[in-house]
Amino acid sequence: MLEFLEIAKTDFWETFGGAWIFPVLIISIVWILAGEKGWGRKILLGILPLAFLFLYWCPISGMLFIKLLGDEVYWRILWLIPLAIVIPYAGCILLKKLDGIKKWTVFMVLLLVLAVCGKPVLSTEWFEPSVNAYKIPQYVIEVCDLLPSNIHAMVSNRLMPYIRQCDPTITLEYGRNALNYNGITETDSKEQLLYLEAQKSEVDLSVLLPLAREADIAFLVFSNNRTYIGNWEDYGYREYGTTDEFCIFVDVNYEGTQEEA
Amino acid sequence: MRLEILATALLYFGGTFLTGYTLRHLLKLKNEGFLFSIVSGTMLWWAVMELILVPMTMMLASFSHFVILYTVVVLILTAAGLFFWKDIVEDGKYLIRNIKEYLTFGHLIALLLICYQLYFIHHHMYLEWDDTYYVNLANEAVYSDQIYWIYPETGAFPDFDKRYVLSLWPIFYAWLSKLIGVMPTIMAHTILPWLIIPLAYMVYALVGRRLFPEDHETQGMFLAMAVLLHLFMSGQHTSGLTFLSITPWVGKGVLAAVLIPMLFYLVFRALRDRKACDWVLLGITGLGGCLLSSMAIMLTPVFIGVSVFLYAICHKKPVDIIYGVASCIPCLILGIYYIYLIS
Repeated sequence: MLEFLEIAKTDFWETFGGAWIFPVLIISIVWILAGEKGWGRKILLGILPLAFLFLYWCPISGMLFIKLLGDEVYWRILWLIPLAIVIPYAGCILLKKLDGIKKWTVFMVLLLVLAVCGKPVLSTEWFEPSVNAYKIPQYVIEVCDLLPSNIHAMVSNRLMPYIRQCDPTITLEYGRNALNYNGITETDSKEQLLYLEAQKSEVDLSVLLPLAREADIAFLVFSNNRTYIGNWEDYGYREYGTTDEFCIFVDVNYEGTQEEA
Repeated sequence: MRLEILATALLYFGGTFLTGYTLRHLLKLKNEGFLFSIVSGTMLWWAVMELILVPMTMMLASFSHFVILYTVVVLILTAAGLFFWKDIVEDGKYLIRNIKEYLTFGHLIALLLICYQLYFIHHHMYLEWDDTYYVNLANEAVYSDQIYWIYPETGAFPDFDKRYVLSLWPIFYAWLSKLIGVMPTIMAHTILPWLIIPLAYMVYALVGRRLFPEDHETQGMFLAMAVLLHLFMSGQHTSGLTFLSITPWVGKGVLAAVLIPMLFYLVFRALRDRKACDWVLLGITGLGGCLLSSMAIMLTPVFIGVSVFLYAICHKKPVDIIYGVASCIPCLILGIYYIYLIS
């Protein structure tokens, strides 16, 4: 029960925190319940959002939803509240009582209030200028331009989420699940050992490359700031190409090396 | 890229527009206007896709076979709309006669805000962590010709995550990609916002029309405030409305920004007009929603159930509950199957 309330509280603040939209919603609901005469509208625009809030906070329904949805996405229950219908409707009830210049002035004030109470979504906090049609970081495109198609690779974690969005013929040794390996100190799993070695700022090639070869990894892509213990050539790999931020290494036995960048 | 955006928008809005007339004819819905046709046509496209895609995925069908079958069905639905050209002309004449009523200050502000949103999103990017799964699922379908049988994050091994098998929304834009000839990544990030954002606001325009019939000025103000709320929401991306701007290509975003307002609109219609066709349309929308996200399989019955229950109790019309449950049948069937799959 306490655990549920903690999840509900955290998710609620994560959804409505940082802005005044929730108080605006409550005022709108009260305004609709007080000002709307038709019961049908009162139910769908006033009582319904309250019912969803009740279902969200009620431990019985809440724990049932958590069981069905999972606790990581419990906040999605709050999507059921039609915010962008209820709040404008309440505003329109007010506007319908006015006419002429008063109506337009109040309308503009309402828009201003909504903007001030909310937080701009279209901001540089979340967005960055796009520089390519894929809308993925340019450094990914630069690496993909160098890599041949239809290869198996192990890439830096910075590239991992995007590289197949640029060239889906490239297969990767690790996906996001590998991030769970971070923090593991003792393991016998070759998969984990390979990943953990690749995360070090100073990579021991005598550990990394035999494991990479065993996993049939033809290409390895590391950030330029990495240093290495040992020589790549001693283990059958060599430098294939570089970009401003990444260095690409290739297995010398890879068939397509003659087409290198 | 402008040409690809234009071609996709023409294909999508043109197709759903005509399909909407086919559906309207089947449901005997007259004089609903262009926007209603596009939105209802979209719901039918998604519902039909869910009906075709789930069994084909289970039967290990290839993506190219899916593309052929779904395209043929969509073509039939679209072409059938041409037979109802009289309805189209009638709606067109009505629109031309009343166009001045729609040119209100509120509509103008809404239009400016929508244009700003589209412009901003077109020139910016939001890096969505989950794209490595969902967008690559679409990429994998196009490039390996297999639907959902390869782990999309790595492409290196076969995988079948049962949680998502009923809601393969990325295959929808993989299908669009195949028809237009662009990569799914580009379709999702660069082209899809031009479809989904206008679609979402079409739904809000319909809601405004329902809430304030005959009062075009207030409809415009309602729409302007609804658009503004999408641009100024609370601080976190967990807020449903925010998804329309940050990730309009993600199924969950479409669920929050298009499907839930659409459910509200249809529930409002069904409960007020008390016509069987509205309940049928609600059922189609529920099924179409299941394509977007497995979350919709549960949220749709909850939304319909709670609203219909409250309304039926207050108006002492228990029969509405039966209609409401009937409209949720597609979701309930898939919901039971989902529980069976994950248990």
